[in-house]
Amino acid sequence: MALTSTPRFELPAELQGEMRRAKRLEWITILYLLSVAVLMYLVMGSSQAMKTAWAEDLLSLIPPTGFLIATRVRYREPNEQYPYGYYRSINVAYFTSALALFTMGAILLIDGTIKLVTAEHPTIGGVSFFGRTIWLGWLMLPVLVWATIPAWMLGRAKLKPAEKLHDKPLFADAQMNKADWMTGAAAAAGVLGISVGWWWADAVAAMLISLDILFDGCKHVRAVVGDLMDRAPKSVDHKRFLDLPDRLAAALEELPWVRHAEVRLREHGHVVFGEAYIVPLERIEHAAAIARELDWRLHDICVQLVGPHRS
Amino acid sequence: MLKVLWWPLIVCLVGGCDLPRDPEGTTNRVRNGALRVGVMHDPPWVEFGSGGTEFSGVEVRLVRQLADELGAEIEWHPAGETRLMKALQNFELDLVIGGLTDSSVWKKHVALTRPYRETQSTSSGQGILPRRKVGRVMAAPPGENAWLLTLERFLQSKHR
Repeated sequence: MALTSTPRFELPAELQGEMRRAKRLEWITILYLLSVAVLMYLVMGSSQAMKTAWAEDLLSLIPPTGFLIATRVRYREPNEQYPYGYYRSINVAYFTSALALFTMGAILLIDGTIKLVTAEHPTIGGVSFFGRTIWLGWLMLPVLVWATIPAWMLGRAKLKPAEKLHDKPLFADAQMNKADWMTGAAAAAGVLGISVGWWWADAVAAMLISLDILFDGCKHVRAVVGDLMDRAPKSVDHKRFLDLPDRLAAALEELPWVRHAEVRLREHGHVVFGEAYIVPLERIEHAAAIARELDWRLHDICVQLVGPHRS
Repeated sequence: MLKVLWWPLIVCLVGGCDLPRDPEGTTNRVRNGALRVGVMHDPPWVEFGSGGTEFSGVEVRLVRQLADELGAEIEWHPAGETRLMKALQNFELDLVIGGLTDSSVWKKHVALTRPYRETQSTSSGQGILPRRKVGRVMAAPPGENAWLLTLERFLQSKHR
């Protein structure tokens, strides 16, 4: 199997530190999101906006969990069952979270629309707080601040390792965390709307949040499906195609014996696989012509390049 | 980004005195006005007198005290649970009493106060589950959050 198994990939030394940082940040993200989930559950009452924000928070647990699981799997030794290696496992994790986002976004959008259309007035009563009864809505606001600001900070911290490692799932996760402030602001606007008597503010805020989740889901599903279908390599933010195939072709064409080279590449997580097709210079044709003219009987001679193994 | 978070806090501090508000203005209407109460027969919480117009019971006493505090005049509306709850949902009543518990099936359709008292359940347990303690509540129209808060504060002060 030594010839057909892809060689084991090791991150260059300078990137291993980035990988450790990324893993640490994802562990912190998971613990933080669990704390947010618990707090939100305690204060969400029957506010649709809070319920939607809570759902988005739970969904945000999938990317970091997927990342940490895939990171254990992706650098395993390729073997007979997986001759191309396990590098695509990270894309599988990415696909799961993207699909979950899309589905939940759709469900929550429908839920919020129903609440708006049936004119359901959200009831938010009081809660005992150190002996006094205060409105539950006033507790929702600080919880939303806790759900928003650390998420934004974590998102920003994760962007740098994601770019250096060219890790698309990590990058997508970081972007989603950074954009969490919009969810918090929408939910807070919903709660404040309810406080002044605009019952519809809750449903509208919930619909806006779920639209955001839905669009995120769409965007990420399209991105990862392309990756899984061996699309040419794209930048980590999926905005442009990389010039890696062109650069490789140009480097090969600089060799004196190469007339023309073409390259196709695909991404397996961090690792890039591909083929380079080379048209060698006239020396080969020259050798073939000399072979044919040596004797009137030599007719169809094929001159073949071989690698060092056969010598 | 932080700018977006500051103004809601300012709104809270500045307008916080009378927040939250009722979308249908229940509290303002009830204060020094009429308090429309739906009643169901369930001793000892609500007991119908012989004529059908006199009411007594634990919750009736509480409601009378509440009306005194708010300067409101009580209008009693006796009927069955379904009709009363539907009326509450349509904002035709301000309050419904009659031995409601916090496990009532109406909790998704109307606003239930937090329990003002814990009692032993009168029905037997479900299957192998033992009889539970239930909380006694009152029902208010959905989404009338200021009114609900007024009720809850009143009830908590009565049952310390």
